[in-house]
Amino acid sequence: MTKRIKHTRGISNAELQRKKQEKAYGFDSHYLTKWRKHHVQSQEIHDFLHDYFVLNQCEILEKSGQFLSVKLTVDLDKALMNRPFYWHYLEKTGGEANPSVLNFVTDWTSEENKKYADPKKAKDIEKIHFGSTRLHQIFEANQKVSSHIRLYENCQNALFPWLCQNFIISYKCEKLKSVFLSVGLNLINGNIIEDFDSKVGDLDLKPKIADLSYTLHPFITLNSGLNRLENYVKEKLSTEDNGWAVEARYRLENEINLLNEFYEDDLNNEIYQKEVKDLNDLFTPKIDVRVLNGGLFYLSNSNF
Amino acid sequence: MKNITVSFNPEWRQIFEKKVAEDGPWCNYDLYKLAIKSAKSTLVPDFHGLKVKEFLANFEPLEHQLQTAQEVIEKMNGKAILADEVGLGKTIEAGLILKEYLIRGLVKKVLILVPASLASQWSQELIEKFHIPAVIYKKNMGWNSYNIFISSIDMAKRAENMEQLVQEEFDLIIIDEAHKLKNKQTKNYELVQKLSKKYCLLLTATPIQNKLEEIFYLVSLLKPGHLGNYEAFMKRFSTAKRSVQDDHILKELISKVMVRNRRENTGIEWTKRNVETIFIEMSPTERVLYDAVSKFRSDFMSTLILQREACSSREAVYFTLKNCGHDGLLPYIEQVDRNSKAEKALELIQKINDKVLIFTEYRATQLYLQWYFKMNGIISVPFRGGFKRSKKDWMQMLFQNRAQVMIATEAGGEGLNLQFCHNIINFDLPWNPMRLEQRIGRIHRFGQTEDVNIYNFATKNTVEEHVMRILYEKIQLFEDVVGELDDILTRLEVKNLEKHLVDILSKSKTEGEMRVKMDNLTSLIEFAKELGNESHSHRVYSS
Repeated sequence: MTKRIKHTRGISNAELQRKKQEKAYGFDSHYLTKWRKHHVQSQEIHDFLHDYFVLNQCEILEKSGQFLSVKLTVDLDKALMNRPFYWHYLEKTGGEANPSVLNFVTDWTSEENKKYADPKKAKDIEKIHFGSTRLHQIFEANQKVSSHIRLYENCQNALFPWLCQNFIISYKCEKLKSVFLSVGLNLINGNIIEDFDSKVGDLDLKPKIADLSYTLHPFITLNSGLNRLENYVKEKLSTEDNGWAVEARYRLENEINLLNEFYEDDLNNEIYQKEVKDLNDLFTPKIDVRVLNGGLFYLSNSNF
Repeated sequence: MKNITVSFNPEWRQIFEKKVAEDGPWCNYDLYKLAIKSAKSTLVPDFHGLKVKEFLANFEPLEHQLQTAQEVIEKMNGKAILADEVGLGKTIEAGLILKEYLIRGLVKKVLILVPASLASQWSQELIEKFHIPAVIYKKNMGWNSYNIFISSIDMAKRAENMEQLVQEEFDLIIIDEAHKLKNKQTKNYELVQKLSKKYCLLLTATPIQNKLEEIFYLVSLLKPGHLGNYEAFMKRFSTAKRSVQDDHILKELISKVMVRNRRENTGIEWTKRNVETIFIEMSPTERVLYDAVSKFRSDFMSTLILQREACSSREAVYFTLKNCGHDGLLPYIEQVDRNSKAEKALELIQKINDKVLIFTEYRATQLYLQWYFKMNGIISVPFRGGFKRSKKDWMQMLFQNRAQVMIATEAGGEGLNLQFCHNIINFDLPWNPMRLEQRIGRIHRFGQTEDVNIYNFATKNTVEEHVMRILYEKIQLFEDVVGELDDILTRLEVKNLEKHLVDILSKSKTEGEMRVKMDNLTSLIEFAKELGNESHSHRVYSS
């Protein structure tokens, strides 16, 4: 009887249950938008993985929706699977290498991939999303092998030598922010440009020089060029707003004052000394500059 | 930007020079572009905000949890007491903060100290919800073999471990059930004080259990000096001398290092709590036993303990007496022919005809009840804090799928999640209301979809009735979620409520004296509560 009444109102039991749950968990109205965003992001990750494995000459065993199955190459197995003993053993015995197969699903909410959601039924399938360890391992492995490059523009002109470095700059106190900076230096006229990576993005670049083109000899040595780029970054940083660092120093000072008040007459106390060191480590502002990758670009342009 | 150290990593340059000299090998352009793309995706372009939100796929944190994480990171510099009421997800808040720091690369080495019984639950939650691989420390592993360790505090404070831990440079230390650190004289306190810690999270639902000093010591672990030194603090803030203005200052100071979310402020609609007190008449034989233990005097144990046990079951009394080698009371125990409370519980369970969680303070009662229910065709499972994690999980599952009743002892309170159950019977009552709140928190937490029924048993004309009337009826601690109680007790400077009660009940010479003292205590608590309500429009933590 009750069931029929519910039906005429057009609300099924399942829906009631869902509503109840929503109420209990306090889902907000943005939930769906967030979900859609997640969907777009997972497609990007799927594409990234696909490109990565294809570029590394892995055999793609299956690709459907956001599911991917790949047979690793020996090199990638060594880089990703963390089984040095296996490879050592093979080298010693001369056995046949059998690299691993990896299966990835990047969206397990869609109807098509729902079957992968249950960890018990999909044992050998890794769920990959932006926070998963595997994805970051792949990021790292990839960044490690793609740090130095030399490219030539595919044209029939004289080519200017450019030195490029892509930096990750981390501003660090007890908080952190990080930015990307791509800089190119013309090794003939000394011009420096930013956003180098996107400016050369549309050019046809090849690892081998084209038959009828030739490179111009640089006036600036590589050593001096690298110094110029380093100075350029330092100079740029020195003109930036340093409010964050001033504030961090102010916080550090405050913390040390509190600590002094606490230990008052006992400033030789071992724990006090340690606390001071910890506070300094934590709050002292510093900037780390890491070169992500870079190299030599021979381009027909002498400026952008 | 003067005086800021700028450091470049030199490796890239060295390799580059080598490759130029040897004419390669150079990398693939597509992979090079992928590297740039991936690096850009992991950037954190702003000091503010939570990057962690993009990193969670398996669950959606609640608004108050995200807010807390952000507040701790941005306003408290990663040093905070997370003091949400039970069931609001302190573990999740800690996980969010930890993950955010990991993403930003601010934290690498982490030590998580938890009660031994919660270690595997922590590791499970961190991996499932946050994809953080944390290793549970086992003997002789060496503290630098992994980056993120979970360990029990008892394991960590062993001499050999403590020595090593003090040498390690931890970036973040998380301590669950941090109220175990409130005493400065303990090894626990010494350990945490000696650890190097840049960021530190202390998790506790009860930052102040009894005394004001407790909060002083907790805060001083986190930020020595924040509340001044001990003498200055006590001089200024001990209740006797504290002015209204000082009171505000104290709250203000504490709010800078503590986040305390209360149910009513989380915006989650909580299901209701229906509380029913059931008074039970003792059978004549039970009364004989109760009177006998009331007259019992011994140097080794307090009469009060036996009285409370007699209110629970004759088995509980027997167990204690046997352990002490007294058998003078044995005949009184033997003549008890029934357990009125158990009969009432059985009747209630049959009427409810749904899952019921029963709490008792005594293991002997737990065993007896299990046997008694079985005799009457009701399947029950036991639960104790001492069970191994695997056994706990198993019991939880049995309760969910097979048994109608779970019988838990006090120690079983921590780390149980039983949202599928809507009924609690408090077979006997703890004398510390915070512990009662923890019991209820096992089922009344988010995820609970039904109203929750709480049945409190109290035997008439016994100590139990006195306590019930005072603690749980007059001051209506059930209806108001007990969260406020810690404020009240601090305001009162009732050093130790439990001890206070024991004093009244055991030292009063006459019934009359006892009643007067009890009434005094009640009105004091009521008074403090009113005061609390006035100043409570102002939240304890900053908003």
